Amino acid sequence: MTAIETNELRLAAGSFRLADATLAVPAGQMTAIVGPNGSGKSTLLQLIAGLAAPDGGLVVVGGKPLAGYKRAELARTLTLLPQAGEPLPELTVRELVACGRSPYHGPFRQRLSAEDERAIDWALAEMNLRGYENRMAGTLSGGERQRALIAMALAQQTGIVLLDEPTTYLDIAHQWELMRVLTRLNRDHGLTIVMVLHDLQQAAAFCGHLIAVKDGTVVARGEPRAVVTPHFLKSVFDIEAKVRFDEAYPLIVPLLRSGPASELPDKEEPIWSS
Amino acid sequence: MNKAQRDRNRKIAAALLPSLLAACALFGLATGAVPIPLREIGAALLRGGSLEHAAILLDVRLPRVLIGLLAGACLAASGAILQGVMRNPLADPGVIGVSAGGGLAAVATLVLAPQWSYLLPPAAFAGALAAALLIYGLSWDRGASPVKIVLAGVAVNALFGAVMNGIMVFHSDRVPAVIPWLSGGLNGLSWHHLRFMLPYALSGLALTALVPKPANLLLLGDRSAKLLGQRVERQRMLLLALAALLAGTAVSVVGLVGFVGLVVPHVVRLLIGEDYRWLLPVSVGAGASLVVFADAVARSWFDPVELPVGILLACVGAPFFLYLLKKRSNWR
Repeated sequence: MTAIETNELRLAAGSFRLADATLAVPAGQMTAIVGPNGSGKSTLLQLIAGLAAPDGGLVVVGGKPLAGYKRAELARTLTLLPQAGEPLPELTVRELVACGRSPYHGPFRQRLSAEDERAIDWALAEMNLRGYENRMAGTLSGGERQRALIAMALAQQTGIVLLDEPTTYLDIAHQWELMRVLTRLNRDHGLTIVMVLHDLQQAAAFCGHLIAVKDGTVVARGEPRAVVTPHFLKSVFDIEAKVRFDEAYPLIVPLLRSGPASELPDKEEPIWSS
Repeated sequence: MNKAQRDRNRKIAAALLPSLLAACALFGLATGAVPIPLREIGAALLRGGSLEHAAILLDVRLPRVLIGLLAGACLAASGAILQGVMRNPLADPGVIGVSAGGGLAAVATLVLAPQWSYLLPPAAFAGALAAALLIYGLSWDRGASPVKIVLAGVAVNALFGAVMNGIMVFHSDRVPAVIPWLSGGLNGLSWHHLRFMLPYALSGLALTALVPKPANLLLLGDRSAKLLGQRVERQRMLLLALAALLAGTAVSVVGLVGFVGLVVPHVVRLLIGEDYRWLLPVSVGAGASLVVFADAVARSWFDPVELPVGILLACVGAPFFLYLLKKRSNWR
């Protein structure tokens, strides 16, 4: 079962180019998209979420082409947690999470039904925010803010959640906490989760499926053990390293003989002016 | 501001606003060159009391107060909508060209075709909407971002301003006729002005009932609003059109009254938060009260000169605005 497919997705924006990106995201699993900076990971997510239109190619969500979705219908099917967020409006956490219910209402209705309230309560509880619901969103710390935004996405009750570098600005404890929560949501509610991650080790440890992107093209996909190999690290990131798995967790050990360090320019004598 | 403060302020606003509105309207009816005692107002409105007072009230004060209420309500609503949609706390009806377009049309009418000066309100109204449309068209590129709208607005405002000033330079003898309109005031307005603006003002204000949900979601940013199923480009266009209609309606009759659209929603936002379900109606009530109150002060304190209310509002509003800027540290 695939939740999302893309077929020969192309996009040229400025100097950036996405070339024939073809991938399939298995339903009900956690998938990580990995790759070097500027390789097109975020762009892929944006195209899948319908935030940008591709120059060519097809995105299929739940067996239906993206173009066949109405905006609100898509918002009941998938959602995305963007990378660096915009400042939050002056709303309480609960009011913010309630915004997640808007795809279920007409364009002007804001009154919440009992079902809406249940979904909001559930989302707040899942993200461990019950004690925060009356706090103003602007006063939250980075980690709390992240949780509030994920709770808003959960309140949308979509089967698919995309996250763009959700761990980048979190310390390691909050990173793991987030990964645990996502794993639980995936396990208990069958949520399909796709996230862009920079940390290959986390990606391999928590996600059953990896998609590697380089220069706007999908270059590898599959189970972490099959994907994360020395050959992969060399061809995608251009680094020389050994890989050893400790259960699901890969240890990536750099080989220091070669690599960027040797390419540093020769040390020059400092020049002192008198 | 925390939730408790905000909720308390909301309760206070809901309780006080109707009486504030009534008090300002009564103050406006009672104040002027001929003060009319409050107890006579009721009698005169019911065709009783002294004939002279009844005439002043019905022919002069009542239309003036009603126009002031509508204009203040429209300007404040327009500003509240614009500040959210443009995601810019400095947005006011000037940003979308309403002042420049209305101003140019007004100057052209009063200076170039004084025999048609009775057409001033419809001309200014058309000018205001045309300028808003022009700015929106210029900034359109698969959707119009707030930044592009502001830039196009600056350019159009500069151009229209230059043409307007050019007209005034070439016809300097007729400039005095436009000065009251350019300073913005309620002087000499009567029932036919009210009749002109009433349908636009009422339909515009009625349409604001549809604003809160899309405006609230736009506060989260375009991307989040889209992910929540909103058709952001279309909503922004419709909200801008409504803001232009509201401001154009006010400007066409009372002239360039600035600051109400900028300051009122700002102050209201500081007190009761950004949620448009509250921000919009409270701004409407506060804007209406403010204009009527300020007009009563402007025409009585400087007797025998009737100061245009726009001048008074700017003189008091600008320092107050700066005070708010200084006081509020977590500005964004």
